[in-house]
Amino acid sequence: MAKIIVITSGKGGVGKTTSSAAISTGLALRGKKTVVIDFDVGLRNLDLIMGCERRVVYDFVNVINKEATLKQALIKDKRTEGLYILPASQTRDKDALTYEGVEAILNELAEDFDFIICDSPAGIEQGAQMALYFAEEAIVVTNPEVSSVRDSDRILGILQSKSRLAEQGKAVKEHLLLTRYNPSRVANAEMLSVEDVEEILAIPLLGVIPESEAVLKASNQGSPVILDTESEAGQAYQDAVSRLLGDEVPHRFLEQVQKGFFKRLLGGK
Amino acid sequence: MAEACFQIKGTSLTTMSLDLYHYQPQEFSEQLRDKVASAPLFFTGSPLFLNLASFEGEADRELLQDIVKQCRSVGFQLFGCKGASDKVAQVARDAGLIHLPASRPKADKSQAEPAPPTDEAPAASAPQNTAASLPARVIERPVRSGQQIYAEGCDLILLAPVSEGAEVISDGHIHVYSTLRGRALAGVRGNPDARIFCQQLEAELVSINGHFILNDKLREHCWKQAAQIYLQDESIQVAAL
Ligand SMILES: Nc1ncnc2c1ncn2[C@@H]1O[C@H](COP(=O)(O)OP(=O)(O)OP(=O)(O)O)[C@@H](O)[C@H]1O
Ligand SMILES: [Mg+2]
Repeated sequence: MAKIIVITSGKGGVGKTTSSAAISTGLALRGKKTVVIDFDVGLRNLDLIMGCERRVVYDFVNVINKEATLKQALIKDKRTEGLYILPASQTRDKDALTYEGVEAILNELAEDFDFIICDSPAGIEQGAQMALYFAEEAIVVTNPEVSSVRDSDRILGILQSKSRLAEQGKAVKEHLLLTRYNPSRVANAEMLSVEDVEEILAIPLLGVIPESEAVLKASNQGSPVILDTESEAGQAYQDAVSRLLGDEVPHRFLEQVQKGFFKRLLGGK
Repeated sequence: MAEACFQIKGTSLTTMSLDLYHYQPQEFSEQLRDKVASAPLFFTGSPLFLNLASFEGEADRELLQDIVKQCRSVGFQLFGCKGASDKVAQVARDAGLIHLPASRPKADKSQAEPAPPTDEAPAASAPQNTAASLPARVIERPVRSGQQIYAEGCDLILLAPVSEGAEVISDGHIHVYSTLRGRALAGVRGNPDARIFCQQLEAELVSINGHFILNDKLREHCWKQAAQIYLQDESIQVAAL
């Protein structure tokens, strides 16, 4: 039986799709058969970041409407063995997803896969609620700034009141993924620190992804940043995947890098 | 035989009442908006009736229509009117309100009301024993922005943080064994003895028995420290724990 994980945030543009692509790739690299679903009906971004946009024939909504089978719509990733993408529809209206339809698809996928990753649209309304409803775990993507933290707090409230598990009186397992973290801006008090965000949200920290040029480069190339093993962002996503699988890995890239002479003067850490 | 379509049952519905003392449209409107702003999640959509028992003067059609309009515009569901003379009762019906029979006179304090008290007591009146009879409501998970917890007829105990943008409300005391960042309203149905206790005070608003103070005032005392909040001579006190 697959584990269903939603990647959600409330606020838009914080890195949900980037993280969905990286984490699903990372899980597949560890031998877990993984499917990543784009719930952002109307926008369709995930296939671009995964570099498979030209291979999209059928989408999520076609499968719900029984215009295509799941097999026809699933795209097998070319780079990573054991990874599949279910793209969102670009043109359909937002009401195209129904709870019954989504549930049927998830049930079918659950038989074949180890992980189902749901890339949520922004917001806290219907689309985001649909993406999180069936999840057993949630990765809450947050940027180190007040408005993003507030929105994450709201989505956590929805997660624990409007998800299927919440309706059954159970709790969805929560993970905090802090992205676009810039230690020097934290040092200048332009951004909240990891500790600040952890204290406000009070959920376990899955990872901290540094702000990195490599992310933009990766999405332009249509290759998830986790495959860029040289980059800090890629390495930080690998650590996060390890933690998701239960390993204990120390957090990296939290400190400002001191350069050259100063670094030597102050002594390495 | 057909299955029963319905059953009529006795119930003691809890609602809030708006006890009108005097009326000046501008003042009323401002105070009403302030009130709702103090706990928007709690007040918006709440059923409410108008209590005219302490109203100085006679309510006329215009006044009632005005009040109905104002209450609805801020999100209350004003449904009825109480304590009106026969003449005013007719006017109230015309304004779309149901007329509720008057309760026993206020002076009669010796007898406890059997039904849950619905009148939000004016600050000066004697405390009503609303709380303490039921065990406290205990919440173990964080209360998040946009969420509201109401402990009806009892104390409220919170074991995790209350986020900014969340509301925790109780007819009795409120204990927060964590950080209080949101709004806390204790003794909402009339209990000047209610208190708020928290391990770390960072609240947006605290209210006891309808009196409230906001974040800017709170920052002056015990900010980010363990504190209790209580009412003394109708003024809110913040003290270290
Ligand atoms: N760690 C990072 N460093 C630098 N840029 C990043 C990082 N993470 C994400 N970005 C950039 O932020 C932008 C938004 O990212 P992404 O599309 O993943 O966000 P999203 O939360 O899915 O957005 P939406 O809410 O619109 O779905 C993109 O331009 C992406 O390249
Ligand atoms: Mg996205």
